[in-house]
Amino acid sequence: MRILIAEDEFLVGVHLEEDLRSAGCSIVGPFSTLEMATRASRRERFDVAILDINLNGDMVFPLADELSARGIPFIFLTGYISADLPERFRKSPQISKPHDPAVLLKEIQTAVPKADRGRNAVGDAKLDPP
Amino acid sequence: MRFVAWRGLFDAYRRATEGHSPWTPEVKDPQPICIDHVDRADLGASLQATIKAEGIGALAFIPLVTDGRLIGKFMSYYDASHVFTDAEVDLAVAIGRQLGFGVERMRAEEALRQSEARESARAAELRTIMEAVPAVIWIARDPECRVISGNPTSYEFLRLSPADNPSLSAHEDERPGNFEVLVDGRVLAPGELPVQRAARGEQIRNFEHEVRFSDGTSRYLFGNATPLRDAEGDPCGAVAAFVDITARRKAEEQRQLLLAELSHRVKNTLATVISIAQQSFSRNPNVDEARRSFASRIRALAQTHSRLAEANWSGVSFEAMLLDEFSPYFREDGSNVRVSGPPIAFNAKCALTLGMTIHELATNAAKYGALSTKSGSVDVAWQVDAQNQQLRIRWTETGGPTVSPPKRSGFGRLLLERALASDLGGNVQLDFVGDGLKCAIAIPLDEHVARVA
Repeated sequence: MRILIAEDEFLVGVHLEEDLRSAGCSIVGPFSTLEMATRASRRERFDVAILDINLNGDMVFPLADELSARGIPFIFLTGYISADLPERFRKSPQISKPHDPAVLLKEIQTAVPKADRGRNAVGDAKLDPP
Repeated sequence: MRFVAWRGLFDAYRRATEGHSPWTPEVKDPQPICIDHVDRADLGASLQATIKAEGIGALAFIPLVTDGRLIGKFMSYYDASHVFTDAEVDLAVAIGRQLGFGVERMRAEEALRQSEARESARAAELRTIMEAVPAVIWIARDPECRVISGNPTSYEFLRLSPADNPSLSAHEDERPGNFEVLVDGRVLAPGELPVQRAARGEQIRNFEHEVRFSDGTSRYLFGNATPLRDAEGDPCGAVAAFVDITARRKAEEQRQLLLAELSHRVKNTLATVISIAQQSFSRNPNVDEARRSFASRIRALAQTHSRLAEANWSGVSFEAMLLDEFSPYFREDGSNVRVSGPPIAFNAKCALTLGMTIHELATNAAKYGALSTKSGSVDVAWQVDAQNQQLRIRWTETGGPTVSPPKRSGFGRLLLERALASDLGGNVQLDFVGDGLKCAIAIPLDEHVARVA
């Protein structure tokens, strides 16, 4: 399972990275600006994106719209409350900061149906029950 | 009774008889008084003497009357005694009547003039108020509001000249075309505008609306419109007064944004704290040490927040951050720490990352490096490389125990090698040689990162 991370708070990004790596995922990023995350999303292969809402002042919504259009699932990682999200995203998968690793993994499993999980994954041990 | 006109009388006589009246003021329908022989009249000794001294032999007092009231007198004098005939008296009375009418008319004209002067003064006051008051005032003098006029502020607000007709109900050719009025995002028809509604008799209060100009900019007004009524009580126009609340609305929007931001920042900070906890406990099997180092790192984070708050979140001085972190280790004579460089202020986000990085470097220097010995010292020097728009920082430890790489806390290296790159665009060179760590950091002097204070 390959996961793209867009997060502008360095230590939070590192923390996500470490949690997901120890669950057997490989990481694309973390990227701290909308521009870098968007460019990477068009260049790299990944199964799901974890998106911080505010990337150094830019809202991540244009990237979320693009991923929606491409059929790539994403999960918002947010310090904002639901009501602050634009209407079209209020029902999107979201977890709040600070994240609960178990909840995060569960959301990822829900977002990416088993059949679609990329062949690039470095061992899905923790995500695929035997 | 004062003399207002005379002919052929001496000053002395006038002065002596000034104020004298043969009738009492309240007498109704005063009659002429003729004195044929001054000598034989009962005038009082001094008055008689005065009249004789003037050389007057006979005189007649003719009353000037208005509405049956005495308003003045005219007198005719003879230098010898004279019998006043009825015809003479009639003529004198007729003259008196004409004079009375004349005086009455003069007084009426004077009263009217004064009343008009008061009206004029009051109108000037109102005009001055309209011009001075920092509000938008409009007046419509017809019920359809085909023409609206306003105070100077109103024309400036609408970006029109005082010669223009600002009414959106005016004839097509006259109507202003540079703005429209909206409420809750909906454009109002002219008939729905507050002045027009008031001119139909409606009292409008606390009406807030947007005036959107053809260049895309908007301003907001808040106020009232009141009908003007004619003598029969029917609406014949309106007066409106509005205040520009654009600044107030912007402040409200800012406040809302800040509140949403606050939630976001707090969550971010809490997530950072968990990350720091993760780093502290996963890298150190000794729980006590891990706990101490975790607490110390959070205190450093809190100190940077304090510095930010002191500066209203505008930035933190690099020197202050260094001194904060070195303060537990200063030797009494201050010889083991040196910091030097031009005043630089880092913005919030960068200050927080840099603060944590400095904390790691200083803590490590104290645990394993130059600050862990009596003779060791740390020198931090920085300068602005104007040509490349870079800030170059050199951290030099000397006189400490011999250095070798792995002893350094991985967290410090994580921050130096990855966080500085990610958050500040900086690059770092670490030299673990000889008697102390040497660290060279280059940070682009982007306005989003830092400014020369």
